[in-house]
Formats: sequence, structure tokens, C-alpha cells
Amino acid sequence: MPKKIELTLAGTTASAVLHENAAPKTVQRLWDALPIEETLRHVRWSGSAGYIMAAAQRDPSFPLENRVSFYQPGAMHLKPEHGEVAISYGPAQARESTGIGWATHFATLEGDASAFLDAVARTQHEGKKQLTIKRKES
Amino acid sequence: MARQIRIEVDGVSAVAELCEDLSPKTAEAFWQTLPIETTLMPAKWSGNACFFEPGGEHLKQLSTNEAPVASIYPGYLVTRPGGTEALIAYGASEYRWATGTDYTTRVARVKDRNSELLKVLARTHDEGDKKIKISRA
Repeated sequence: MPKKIELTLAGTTASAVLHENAAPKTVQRLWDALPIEETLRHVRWSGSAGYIMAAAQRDPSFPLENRVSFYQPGAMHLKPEHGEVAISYGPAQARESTGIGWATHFATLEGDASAFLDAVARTQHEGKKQLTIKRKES
Repeated sequence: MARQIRIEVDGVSAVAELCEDLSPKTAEAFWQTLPIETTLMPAKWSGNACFFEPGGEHLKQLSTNEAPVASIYPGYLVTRPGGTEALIAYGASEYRWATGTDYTTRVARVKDRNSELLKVLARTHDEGDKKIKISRA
């Protein structure tokens, strides 16, 4: 059984499957840091996504795995150099002020996550919200 | 002396000078569009900036940029051709969209680069949308 996480934001909940085979080091590091409670804000450079800064995931020397630039809706990505975990709800890309970057795609939301992704999208107009990520027990 | 406008957000205002030397047609069209009272929203592709839809008929008539720039310096107000949107930067910013970087026209610049207004604009990152009023000063 793959490891899963549960995300809670503004009264909505979603489940995500961790990609242990494609991003084993990233998944293990995140798993060991759970639960995580952080402030989710809307990205400023990357398009349709929200992000948290997870201090325990910040390590500029940590390798990228399952490397991507474009974010698919419902996917979760880590930029280890910043400890930035992004959750995309529409077109998005690993960008910053200096241009286009890369990120590790380490998890994907499963099932009907539309209410959760709507809450992520609303951070652009409503402002920051509190996000909780914890292990999902099977 | 350049004409001036007053930008007000969350009870904090600043005076900006129109960039009549750089973009005379756009500055004039923006001036004719005033007053503007609308929603200011945080940008999601362009970095440390907010955007709004200026509305009106005057900016719609302009189909090209004047003295085009992609970088938006803090305190600058820029528009897109056709007046589809206007942005104000409060920090490092570049006009971008999903497909990449594009050009804008400088319309006005806040006179005081340390203006409290820029701090209010920065708060949209945490607080979301705000109301903006722009009038002739």
C-alpha cells in the first residue's frame, strides 16, 4: 500500500498519494516531518498554486527527484532550496523572480479534491489560510 | 511639471506622477479614465505586484505599448494594450503570464519610493483583495 497524506484547509479535506518510487528521499523526509501545520499563501510567480514554507524541508543541498517544471492541477511539489511545498489547482510552473526553475513532484491528490483545490485558489483573493498535513492511516 | 494622480488603498494614499514623457498617449488615456474605484488583486505570475481592471473607453483605444518594458519597478503603475489590466509593483516584479514574459506601458510612478502605500500593497499577499481608488491629484 502506498503511503498517503491527509490535507486540511479552510474546512476542506483532501487525500494525496506519495510517490515513493519516483521521489523516495523526498517522500521519506516529508513523512518523517509530519504532521506539518503551516500558513498557505498564494504564489506570486508560479501561477495557479498555493504554497507553504516548510522549514524542515529546506535544504539547498537536497537532490531534486522526479524533476518537473510545469505543475499539473492537484499535484504537490517541493523546491528543497527554499523548503517550498506548492499545491497547484490550475496552470502553474516552478518559477521565481530569476526565471524558470525545477521542483520535485512528490505527491498527487486523489479522488474528488475539488473543494480543497477551490480553497487553495481562494487564497489569491481571500488571503492566507492554515494548512495541516498529516499521515493518512490506511 | 507632470500631472499627478492620487492612489488610495486601505486608507493609505500616495501621489504619483504620470509618465507623460515616456508614454504620452497612455498617460492621457489613463487621466481621462479617472476616477477609478475598483478591486485590487494580488498578481500570481508577475511577482511582487497587484493588478486591477481600469475599465472605461479611453484605454481600450490603445492597441500597442509605448516605450515598452517588462520589468516593473516598485511604485510604478503600468497598463497593458487595450487597458485590459493595470499593475502596481511593490517589489521585484516582471510582467508575466502563463505563456511567459510580456511588455507593459509605464503610466505613473509613486513619487516617494518609501511610501507607506507600497507596504499596504505588499499586504495583499497575506490579506488578499483590497479596494483601490485613483483620482486626479
